[in-house]
This record gives sequence, structure tokens and C-alpha cells, in this order.
Amino acid sequence: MVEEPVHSRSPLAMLVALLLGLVLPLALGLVLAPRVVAVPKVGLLRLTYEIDSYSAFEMAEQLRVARESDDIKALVVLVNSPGGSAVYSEELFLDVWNTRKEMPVVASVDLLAASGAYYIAAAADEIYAKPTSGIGSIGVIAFLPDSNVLDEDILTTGPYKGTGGTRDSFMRQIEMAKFSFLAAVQAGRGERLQVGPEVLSRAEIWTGVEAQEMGLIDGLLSQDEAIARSATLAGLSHYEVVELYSLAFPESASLAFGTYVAPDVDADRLWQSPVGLPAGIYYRHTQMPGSR
Amino acid sequence: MRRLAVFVLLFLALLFIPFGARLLRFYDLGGSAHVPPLDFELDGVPDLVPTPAFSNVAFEPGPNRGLVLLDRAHDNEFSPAEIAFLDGQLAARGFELIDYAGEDLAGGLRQVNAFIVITPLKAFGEDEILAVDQFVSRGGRLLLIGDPTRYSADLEEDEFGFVTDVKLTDDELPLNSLANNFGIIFGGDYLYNTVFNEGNFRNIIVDGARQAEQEVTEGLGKVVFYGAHSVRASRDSLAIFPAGEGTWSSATDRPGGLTIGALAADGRVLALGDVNFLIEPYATNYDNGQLVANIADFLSVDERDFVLVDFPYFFTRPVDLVYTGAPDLGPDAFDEVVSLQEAFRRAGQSLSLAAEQSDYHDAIYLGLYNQASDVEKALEAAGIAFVFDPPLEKPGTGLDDAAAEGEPAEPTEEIRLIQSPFGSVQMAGTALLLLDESIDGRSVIGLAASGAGLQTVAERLLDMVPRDAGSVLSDCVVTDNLALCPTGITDEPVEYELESGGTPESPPEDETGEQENGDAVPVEGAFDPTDVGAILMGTISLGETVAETLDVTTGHAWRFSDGPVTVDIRVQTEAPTVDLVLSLYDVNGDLMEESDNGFSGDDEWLIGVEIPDEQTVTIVVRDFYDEGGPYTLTVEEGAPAEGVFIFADDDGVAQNTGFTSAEAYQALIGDRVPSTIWRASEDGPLSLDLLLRYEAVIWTTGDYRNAESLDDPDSGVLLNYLFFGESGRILISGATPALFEPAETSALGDLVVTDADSPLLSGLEPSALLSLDQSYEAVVVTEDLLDTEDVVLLRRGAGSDNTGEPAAWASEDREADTRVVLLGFPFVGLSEDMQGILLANILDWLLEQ
Repeated sequence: MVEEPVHSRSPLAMLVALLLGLVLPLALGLVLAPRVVAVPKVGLLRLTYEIDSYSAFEMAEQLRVARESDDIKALVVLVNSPGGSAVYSEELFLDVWNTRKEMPVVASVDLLAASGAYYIAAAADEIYAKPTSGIGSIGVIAFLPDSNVLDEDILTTGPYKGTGGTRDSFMRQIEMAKFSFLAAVQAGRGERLQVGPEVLSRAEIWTGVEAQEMGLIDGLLSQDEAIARSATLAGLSHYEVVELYSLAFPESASLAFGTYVAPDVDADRLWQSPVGLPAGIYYRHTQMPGSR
Repeated sequence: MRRLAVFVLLFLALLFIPFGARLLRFYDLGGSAHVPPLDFELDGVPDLVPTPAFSNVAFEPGPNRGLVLLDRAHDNEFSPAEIAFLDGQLAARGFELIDYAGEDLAGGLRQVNAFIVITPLKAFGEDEILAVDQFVSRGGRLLLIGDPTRYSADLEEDEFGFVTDVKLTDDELPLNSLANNFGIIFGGDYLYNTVFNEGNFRNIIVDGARQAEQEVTEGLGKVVFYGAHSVRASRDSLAIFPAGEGTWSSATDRPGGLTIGALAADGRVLALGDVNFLIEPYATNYDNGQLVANIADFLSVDERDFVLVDFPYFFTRPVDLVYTGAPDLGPDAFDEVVSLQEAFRRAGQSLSLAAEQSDYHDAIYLGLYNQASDVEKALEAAGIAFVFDPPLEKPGTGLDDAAAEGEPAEPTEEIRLIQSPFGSVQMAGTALLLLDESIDGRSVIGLAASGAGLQTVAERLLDMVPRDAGSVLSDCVVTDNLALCPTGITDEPVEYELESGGTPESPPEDETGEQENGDAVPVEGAFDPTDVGAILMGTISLGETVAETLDVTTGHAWRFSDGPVTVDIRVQTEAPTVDLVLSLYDVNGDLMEESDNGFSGDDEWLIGVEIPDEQTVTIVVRDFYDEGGPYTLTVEEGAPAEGVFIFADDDGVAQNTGFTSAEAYQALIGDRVPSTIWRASEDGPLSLDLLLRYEAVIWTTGDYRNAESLDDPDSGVLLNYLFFGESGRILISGATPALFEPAETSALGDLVVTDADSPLLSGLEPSALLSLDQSYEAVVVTEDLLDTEDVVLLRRGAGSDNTGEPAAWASEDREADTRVVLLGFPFVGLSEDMQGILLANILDWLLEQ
């Protein structure tokens, strides 16, 4: 009878087997996992001061970065703006709306979200503010064109070549712009909106408390809470917060110890009436000339 | 094999543990998933906010004619173009808008059917309110229009003249100063409706069903007010145009109970809270056009109860001037007729001399008490009777003849009385004026005891014609239709019949006293002022002041025939919007002098104008902007411009010791011509009329400098003299003349005479070097700053900075007849010899005619 040889495992072999079987995959997993399952990020985007071509470009770029990033899972728009150009407000509204298709977007109002700024905020999933934040000024301001007169020395091929239209038609155009604004708010807020167009058309600036009652915002939260809320909407339990400006414009961003530092908001500048606005239609809060 | 499979599974399980751990750490796998939105679609936006339909305006033009007074005296915030639609509607009804620019409102209201007040920014005075109140109580119509978009804006400026703040006073409504008198209050608010509106929240639609049924709302469906005050009506007033329940007031921020219009004083006062509905295209939206037409109807209703002081504006038909008793008329009477005709023509009335009143004509009756049988019925209707006891006898008969023949007459007590509602009054020294409406049409009867007394009646009537002559009867006992006035004639006889004396040397050209073209009869030989867009107002004498009101587009011409004389002519206005232009034409219509130096509200004057002979010259006063307004014109004896005015501009900052060259100039001028030194630091501000009294002006700043001196009022006057006046002759000298401030300066110590062919360099050698007494920080003027026709006299020398640049030059504008010499250094810096030579040359040139 031939005795079968006994395969004895040396300790070394056992160790190698352990390394191969347990440690290696675990280590490999630990190395690869952060690359595959990156820390999700909540992007911060600051809408500050005037909405014009420059600020609209900056915001649009940041929104693009957010949409194109795999890591950014939610977006918070921090609003401190009196509004501005109607066209750029509408453009940013659509940009935010489209971003919302890919990730939750929360707007957080600090001092003021007036007119075009609220227009943009209305595209977010949810809007939060502080109890005394300024919310509203839903409406349009525009400067009527000059009266149409014939000039002896200037020849045009149409009666309104020089003015773009009649003062009457311009008035009606801005009324339509108002309706478009109201429709955007209605689309963004949906059934949460508790007041009708007759109230919104008054173009008042309400406090955060009032705005919540009216359904213009979803609640009163701090900025951090708003960020947390956006993370919740995105299904995140742990996340990082990143300033989108430093991602979109790394060369321009002001960095302190490698971290982007957002500039403080100057309240005077925020409420300042614009000077020398070019002709056009504006979604902007404007202190009318004069005071009493 | 099985082991391998287990191994692989274990490997993979271990490999994915970190993945799972991270997923579990970062993501809330049990949370609700974010629901992305659908594509954005703009719902609820109307395709169009349409322009309302235009509705035709229906009205029937009548054969009426009349005037409507438009307030322009209270800083009214509107332009004539804005009420063009209403103006057109009034014109279609035969009514003309005339401006009230201030002065006498009671006088202005005498001639009109209605008074329009639109958005005044200045309150009405008590006298004005009383005048309007009386006007309305006598059937006049009053339209009051406020508007929340028309308010005062006070600009606050900083020291540099930049506007730093704007204060609006849109809650203070000066219109209420007048409206309150009729129980109407314009709210300091605007109305808005964010739901039911015409294209904008502030455009308030008022449905026909909501309008109070009145003439002014007749035929109206929808009307729209484009930014309106609320208007509150008292218990005696009627609210019209109530806004819908969804309309809010900006003042209370509450809806309901708001109206935009009111009728008061038995429908004679209409108040509306918006002016924009009058303006095209808003005047054509919905039934706004019909509303404007209704307002025009409202304004053109002839319900005026005229009284005597409204003379002659109650005449609505051609007026016959009839002398009672059919006397033989002489030149004195023709003078009166011509004067009245001219005055009537200016007032838009027609007057002609007639033997008796024609059918469908109004009339003025002039005559003696003893020849009043033609107007007996009118006198009787007014309760007036004359007592002649004993009756008057024709000269040449009866007692008078006996007395004339030296026979003693028996003393008799003559009773010559006017028995009137005032009681009995002596005929002697008393004139009677009566407005009669008992016969056909309207008549004014003017009676007196004598021919001389009747002349005072005619003069009084003449004085009543100007619009602002409401107080002509202030020395009379007056009721609505009767006035008894003093004639001012001592021991006035009660005459038997009117004798106006003699045969006229040159009777009027025709009965109307007008040429075929309707203009006034011209003074022989004088040019026709209509050629320069002015109407002849009359004559003005030396030492006389006349006050008149310019119409919107027409200038006023005044004849002056007191030459030969040197005169100062001044025209002034209190209306801030009137930009006066004063012109003087010779007998041939050639422009002699013209003054348009000031801006709106400023005076104009012609100083020291020589009227060389006895020719009739014509003074024309115009408003540059053709908007019209009141003015006063004065012609005084003046003196020809003479001598040199030396202005020592010494209120700047001294660069060295602080000096001007004024004394040196005066000393060198000596007795050649009179000269006066005026020191800015001592003698106060300059005035243009002061400068115009001199043949030439010297402006010396020496070494004083004022970097903002162009804003200095004195500099303004001097520049005005230089650039806007005629025949300005000026020498400017100093290290930094104000003309070049803020100036670049550099060291200037010597000068080089140029080789210019100019009398100003007479006695100076070309290229000669002139040293200054010291180096001055003087203005640097480069060649390119000068006009090509300017003549450079001196240049900076080699010992100065900017060598070769101009340091002194002369400039002449032959068309404006102005001459300027500029020395860019202190004149006293030159040697005394050079000072003498240079100044003599300069004076020769400046004073050359």
C-alpha cells in the first residue's frame, strides 16, 4: 500500500496566500475606490450684485463646470443681487433650470434676491432665505424710447428705425416681459406659490418671513443648512463643498492658503441704484430718483 | 476548481469592500431620489398685449367762437404739444387757446369762456383764487388737471455743480390751492391696478357702466387714464370716473372707492387726475378721443354772464360805434375811433363807426346825457333817468343868448342829475358806463356831460381793452353792468350837444382803420414790423414804460419817435420761461442794434443807442422760444458809450505780492478818455449794462489767480460782454487770465516782438527783446490754441520756458465788431516805456470806430 504524500503548507506559503487572497484585493479596493467612488461635492455658486453680460458669463461658466463634473452632485446658488439685465436673467434662469435636470439646485438668499435675481432663483428646486432677506421686486423696468420725430438731416427707411418702436408698443412689450417673469416664477414654484399674479405684480420686496408665507421661498435656513438641504436632495450623507468659481476660473480666484475666499458683500453697492443704464429692458430693483 | 472560484469571489468581495464602504458613507441609499424637472415651457404669457382699438370721435362743430385761457403762470409741467389734441378739438369748435403767463388773472379771465389749469407746480395766490371763483360763479368753465407724473424736482448740487441729490415733491399738489375752493381734492397718490389694466398697472381703465352720467361722460364706453391721481369730491361735488374695485391707491395701499374725476360748482368745474390721456397716442385709445371731445364741448359752452368789467370781450359780433344824437364828428372823435379800432383789432374784435346799430351787430354808444334818446330804453331798463331842470337850451338861443348880450339873467337853480340805482349823482364831473343786454345783442353805453367828459369815457374804454386791465374801473362806483366814474374835469359843463370840433386833416383810411392785410395803420415812412414777425402795439416815448404780454408766436413792435436822442432801452420779464430778444430797427427796417445776451428770465438792454435824427425807429420785443409771456419795456435817456472801464480782478489768490495793473493803466490813459477802476474785492459784482456804457474794457488779473474763475459771476459777465455783445472791445492782461483757467503755467521772464504787420506793434522793433521786471509763472498758450486770423504780437523769449510760444496776441471779429487784445503776463511787468507804447497802440486799436 502506497501512502499518499502529505501536502504540507509552509507558513510562508500561507502568508503569501493570505496576502493574495485577503490583503491584496482589500488594498487594491482601497486604492481604486476613491478614484471610482469619489467624495461627492456640493458646488457653491455666488450670484452677487448686478446681472449683466460679465456676471452672466461667469455664472454660466460655473454652471457648465457643475454639469460637466462627475463629482458635483448638488448645487447651491448663493444670492445677493438686485437683478439686472432681463436677457441675462432669462439666460441664467434657463441655465439653472437645465442644471437642475442633472442635480438638485438650491438657492440660498442672503441679503437680497430682487427681480432678475429672484427670476434665476425661481429655477432652483428649492429656495431658502433668512427672515429679513429681501425677496421679490418681480417686474420689469425700462426706459421709453424717445418720441418719434422726423429729422431733416437723418434719413431712415422706416418710421421706427431711429427709435425701435413706438412708446406705446414698448410699454406693451415690457408688460409682456412682466407676464413672462410671472410665468417663470409660476413654473419654478408650481403649487408652492400661495399668491396670484395680482400680488406678485406689485413688485414689492418682501422679507424672508413674508416670502415664505407667500410661497416664494421654501423656508428659512442658513447658508450651511441650505447646503445640507441640497446634499439631502442629492442623496448625500457625506460630501465636500466646493466653490465653483475657483474651478471655473482658477487663475482669477483669490486664494488664501490654497482655498478660495469669496469676497464680502458690500450692502451699499448691493442697493445702489444703477447710473447710466443703457437702453433696454431690466429685471432689476431700482430706487427711483429722488427721495422724501 | 471550486476553491479557485471561492478564491476569486473572496478576492472580488474584498476588492469591492472599500467601494461599498465609500458608497455607504457618502450616499444615503435609502433617501428619496431627486426628480429632475421637465423642459421649461413658458406658459401663461399672452401672445400680445394689444393696443386698444381707436374709436371715432363724434361731435358737431358749431358756429361759435371764443377763447379759452390756459394757465402757464404756475410752472405748469406740460408742453403745448401734449395738449395739441385738445387744442384741435377746441379749434374745431371755433375756440382758441390763449396763454395766461402771470400778472392779472382777473383781467385775463374777462375775455374767455373757460380756464384750463394743468399740473401747476406753484400754488395760486388768494387774488387768483378769488378771480377764478368769480369767473366760475358767472358761468365760466374751469378744467383742472393733475397728474402724478408731473412734480417738482429740486436738485442739490455739490461745489462743482454736480447733482448730488434729487428731492421730489410729488405729494404736494399746488393744484389743490385752487381745487379745494370748489370742494375738490387731488390726492397725492397714483392709482394702480395690477390685474385689470391697459398694458400697465398704472393705466386705469374705467368702464362706461361705472361713469356718472354727465355731459362729459356722454357716449363713453371704456376710457383709460395713464397714471392718475385719485380725486376726491366733497358733498357738493360729483365724483365721476370711479375706478374699479381692484384699483388701489399708492398712498393708502388699499383698493376701492377711488375716483379719477369730479364735477363741482353745478358742473362748471371739471377736475381730472391725469393729463396723459390728452396726449396722442393715448388720446386715441378706447374712447379717450371722445372724452377729449366732450371736454372740448364742456369748455366751449357759452354760459358766461358777462359784466361791464369784461369789456370788450363780451362782444361776440361785429361792433358798431354809434355816437348818440348823430353829431358832426371832428378830428378828436376820429382819434378816438382809430384808437378804439386798433385796440379792438389787437383784442381780436372788429369795430367800425356807424350811424346806427346794424342788425346782428353789437354796439358801443357814446354821447352826452342830453343826447341819450337813442339809448333811452336801455337806460330805463337799468333804472337810470336824467333830470334836466330846466331843460338845456341849444347855444345861441334863450337865456344863454341874453346873458351873452349882457342882459342880466334871472338866477335859476339848474338841476342836472343822474338818477340811478346808486341814487342821484350830478352829471357834471360824472361819466356813465352801462352794459345793456336788453336790446338785441350786447351794447355798452358811455355817456358824459360834455365833449371833454366823453373823451375820458373813450379813454377809459380804451384802457379796458388790454387783457390785464381789470382794475380800470377801480375809481368808479360799479355794479355788474353799471359804472359811474369821475371824469376829473373841474367845473365840467353839461353840454347841449356834442361838438368834437373841426374837420379832420386826414381821415382814417377806411372805417376799420386797417389796411387790406388787416395790419395796423402804419406810421408814415416806418417799416412794417410784420416783416420781422411782430405786430405793432403802439408808440413808446422817452421815459415811458409799457407792460404787455407776448403771444405765443408773435413779437411786439413799438414805435419810437423822440429822436434825435441817445437812449437806453431795457426789456424785463418776470416769467422764467421767456427768453427775451430786443431789436431796434431804423425807419427802413434795417437792424440797428440787437440784444440777446441773457437766457430765459433775464433782462435785455441796449445801452447808449444813438437815434440820430427825428426818424421813427421800431423797437421789437420777441421771445426766442416763441412761447410768449409778460414783459415791461422801458426807454430812457442814456448817454453814448464813453471811456475805458478797468476791471481789477483782485479777488483770486495772489501768486506773489498780489497786484493788478489797474493803476498803471489808468495813469497811462490819463486824460485821453475817461476811465474808471472797478475792484472785484471792493466794488461788488459786475453787470453787463455797466460794461456797455464804456467804449472799451480792460480786465487785469495781475498776479492773482483763481483756478475756478470761469465760474465766477464777474467772469461770466465779461465773457458775455466779449462773446455775446456787439462791438465788445477788451484788453485782457495777467499772468493767468481767467479765460485760460485751469491753465498750465511756466516761467516767463522775457518777450520777443514779432514781425507781425499790426498797428499794435507800432513803435516796436521786430525781434526786439522786452524783459519783464521779474520771472512770472504765466499761462502757457500754444499756437494751435489761437485762431488762424489771430495776430501774435509777442512771444516768449529765450530766457523763458516754452520759448517761442505766444505771449500776447490780438483777435478781431469784424462781423460782430469785437476786438480783443490778450497779454499773458502782468502789464506792469513791462518797462514803463514799453507800457506807454503798447497801451497807446492798444487803445488806438480798441477805440477805433
